[in-house]
Amino acid sequence: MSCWNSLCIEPTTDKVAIKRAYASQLKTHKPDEDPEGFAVLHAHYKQALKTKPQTIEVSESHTVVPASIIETLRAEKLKTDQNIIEQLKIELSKAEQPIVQYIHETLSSSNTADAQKTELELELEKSKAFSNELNFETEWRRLKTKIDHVLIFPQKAAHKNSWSFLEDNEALFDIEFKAYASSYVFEQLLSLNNVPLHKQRAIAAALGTFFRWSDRKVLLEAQFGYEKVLQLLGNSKSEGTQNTPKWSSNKFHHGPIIFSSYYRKFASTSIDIGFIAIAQYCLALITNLIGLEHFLLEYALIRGIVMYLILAPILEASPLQGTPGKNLLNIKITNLKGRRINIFHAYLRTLCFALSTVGFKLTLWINFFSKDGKLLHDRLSRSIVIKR
Amino acid sequence: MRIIGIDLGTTNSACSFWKDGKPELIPNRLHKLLTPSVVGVDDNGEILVGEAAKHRLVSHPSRTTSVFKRYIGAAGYQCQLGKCEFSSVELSSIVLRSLKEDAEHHLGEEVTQAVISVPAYFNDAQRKATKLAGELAGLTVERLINEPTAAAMVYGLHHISDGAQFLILDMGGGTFDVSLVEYFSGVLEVHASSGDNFLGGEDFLNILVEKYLDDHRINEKKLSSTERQQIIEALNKAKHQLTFDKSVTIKSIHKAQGEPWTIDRNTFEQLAKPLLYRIQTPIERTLNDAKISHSDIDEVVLVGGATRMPMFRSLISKMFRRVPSGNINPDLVVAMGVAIQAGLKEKNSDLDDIVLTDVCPYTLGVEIINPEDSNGKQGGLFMPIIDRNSTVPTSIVKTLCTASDNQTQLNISIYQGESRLVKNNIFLGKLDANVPKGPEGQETVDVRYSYDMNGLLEIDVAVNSTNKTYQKTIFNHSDLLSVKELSSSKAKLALLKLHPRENETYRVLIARAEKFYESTLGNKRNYIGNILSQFEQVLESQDLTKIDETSKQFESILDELEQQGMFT
Repeated sequence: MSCWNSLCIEPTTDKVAIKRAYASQLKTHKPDEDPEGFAVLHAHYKQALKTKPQTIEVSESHTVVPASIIETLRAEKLKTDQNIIEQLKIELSKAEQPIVQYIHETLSSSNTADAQKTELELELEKSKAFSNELNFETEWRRLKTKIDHVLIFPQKAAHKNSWSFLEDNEALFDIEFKAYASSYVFEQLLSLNNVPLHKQRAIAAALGTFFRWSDRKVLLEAQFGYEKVLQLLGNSKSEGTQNTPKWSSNKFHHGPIIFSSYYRKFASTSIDIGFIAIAQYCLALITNLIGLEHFLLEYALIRGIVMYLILAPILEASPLQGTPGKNLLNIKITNLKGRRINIFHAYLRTLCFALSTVGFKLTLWINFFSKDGKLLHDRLSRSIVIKR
Repeated sequence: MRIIGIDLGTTNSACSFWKDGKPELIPNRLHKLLTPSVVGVDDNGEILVGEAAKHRLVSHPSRTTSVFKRYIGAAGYQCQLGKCEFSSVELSSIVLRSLKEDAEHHLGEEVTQAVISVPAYFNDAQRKATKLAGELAGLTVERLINEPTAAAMVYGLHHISDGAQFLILDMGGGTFDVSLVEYFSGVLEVHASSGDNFLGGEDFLNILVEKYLDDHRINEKKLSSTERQQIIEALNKAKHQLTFDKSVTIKSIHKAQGEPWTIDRNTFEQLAKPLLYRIQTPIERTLNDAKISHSDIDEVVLVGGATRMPMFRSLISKMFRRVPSGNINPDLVVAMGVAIQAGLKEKNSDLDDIVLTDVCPYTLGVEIINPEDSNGKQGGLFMPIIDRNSTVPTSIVKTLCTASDNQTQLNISIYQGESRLVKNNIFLGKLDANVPKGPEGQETVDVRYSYDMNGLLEIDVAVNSTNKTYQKTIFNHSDLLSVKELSSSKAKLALLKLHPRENETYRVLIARAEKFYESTLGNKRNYIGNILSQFEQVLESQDLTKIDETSKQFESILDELEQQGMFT
């Protein structure tokens, strides 16, 4: 492996040796004098530190492979495998023991470590007094009942204030204790099967800020599995700002905003006019059957325009976001921010359209000379026509 | 060439250099090691820095300012002092200039190079602003060093056994930093670092001030600035006193306060709960990032004046179930560390074996399009390029491509932060790259982020099809000035006259007396007024021996007055 070359040592799992080698190499690749060299060295150093015992055995056995060595290796591997199984058994049996005892164990061990440095006077007394005062075992029991109690009512649990007792809890200052409580609560949350998912998420959001679950994500994933963490915490890193997901139509345009070209818009309007003509023709046919042909045919043009002026805005403000012609040509109307326009805005836009077509000759010229391809009525009504 | 080290703090600054194999602190003109980071303008238009200005905070609040480090690198902060307006960069540069003069006096040679410390969690803009302040003060900033890292060097070199991992908690006047450091065979390696730029002693003081105003039903807006400064100063003393006593009683400092007001440690601790809660966050984050359990840490080291508070210490001992250590004066340890870095920069032979590696405390990345953003509320996504706690210097390339057909420009927005959405992160700058037209995703650009030892970021963008490159050192749009503004700012600062060094001692005495004059009433006030005018007469006589004699008398009188001072 190349990392051993740049550290100038034989492959090893001895962290102290790796560090020593790194330190000596670092004197020639100081970060401020040789940044590139340092970057390479540091990457190799990290890689070397991560090396696990087995991979080294493999890399060594690559070179010379007498059968006997393989045999011994296999035997050793068997042994280690058995060791691992035994360890697992021990851990499993530990896990079967009640949670409380586990915490108690770690506590007592760190207490003895503390007891070793007894010279620091006042503060030590204080911290000792503190750990005597706070019996973590009973504290945990109290906390657990409280947590369980809140979790019975999901509605209440989703509210941040119902968790305020966590902030006041003295024992939760302790990092280990807090981590333990955190994973316990998370586990409980995952087991709330009868609660709908969005409520579970709301509870997770209420608690997440206290336990800093967004930062612990990696740890939680290792403990509970990626899927479950994702299910509870979602993809988002910022809890609290995101509430339960609501159904909403595509009111907003996402992706880049690309203005449609002049010709596409012209074509879409032509298609619309075609549709109107067909509609008028059909209407005329129907009325003809009833027997009102004289009255209707004469005003077909006017009725066509009125129909357009009434129907177009409704379609533009609907989730279709445009007339059928625009839909066919894959363009839509939004406001300047890419949001679907409302009905009033749509009528305003159509009014502008009607006014600008009255001065048809003038607007045609203006539209030709506008560089961004925005038509006059779009400009006036502050809307845009963009690609879907 | 001598390189000095400067610890530019929110409340106090210090200056040091490397001498004969150990860091040495440089005393200021008043023979003190700490210079308050306070700047003022006196009636003659002369600039006062340090102790004298600090006393004038009470007597001349409109002409004096403090805590400006909090606003360094922030947009549009201007401070009016007398006739002049100053930005926080300029104010910092004035403090640096004063420290530089002290150093020159002490060393007897001209000083043009310096190493300046910054809080580890300072962002790019704040670092740039600090560097600029150094340049305005006539110092070439050889290196910006993170404060906890500087402290770690002192502990690593002198007080910690080889191979130890230790956690540095640095809470100064305005900022809180956490760094996890390992020291082995001459290498000081920072594993992870985190912090909070708006959490420090000042915030604890604000809590006391609020409590005081609440208790006496004083409307904060109706306070004159002199009254406010009086209250702040008295409560600051009370805060310090609470480190030693269970409770402190304050004599009347405001007309609404009828009888002595008592505050005890427990109430203070209750009020400060939210702050204590905030302290835990960066610590937990650092431990998580370094993937270390708290039992693996060999020592917890406290740095910075605010760590003296009993509630801070008890919180830490609760969190780690052990007693934190802080053998070296927490106010000065950073300055000592900066001196070591200065020594390293000078390539001193006694520091030959020491190598320092630091990390980038926050994630740096670019904005990318968010395909799931159905309602426009989320905005763009943040794509990390340099992950937090990568060892620096580092340089990482990521490839971006166009998001739509016929796109002609790629807007590269540079952000810093941990959130998945850019809107929750800090915007650092922008760079536009032109690309030839083509279908979606065909055109690609390579974005290279280079983060150097000073914590400054440089961006290179290369368009792959045209081989065109764009480069940007992030200049924040806000505080950092254009070349023209820079030169005008330089000219403005050159015009400023710093108060002459020799008279500084007398200036401080006068400022102190003026402060007492402001904050007392009746006979006492007349008395102070009398001796003050006497002293001024003696000063005008320019008889050096007499001045010296009277100033000593004057000082002892003031000391006595202070003894009788605020506390009952």
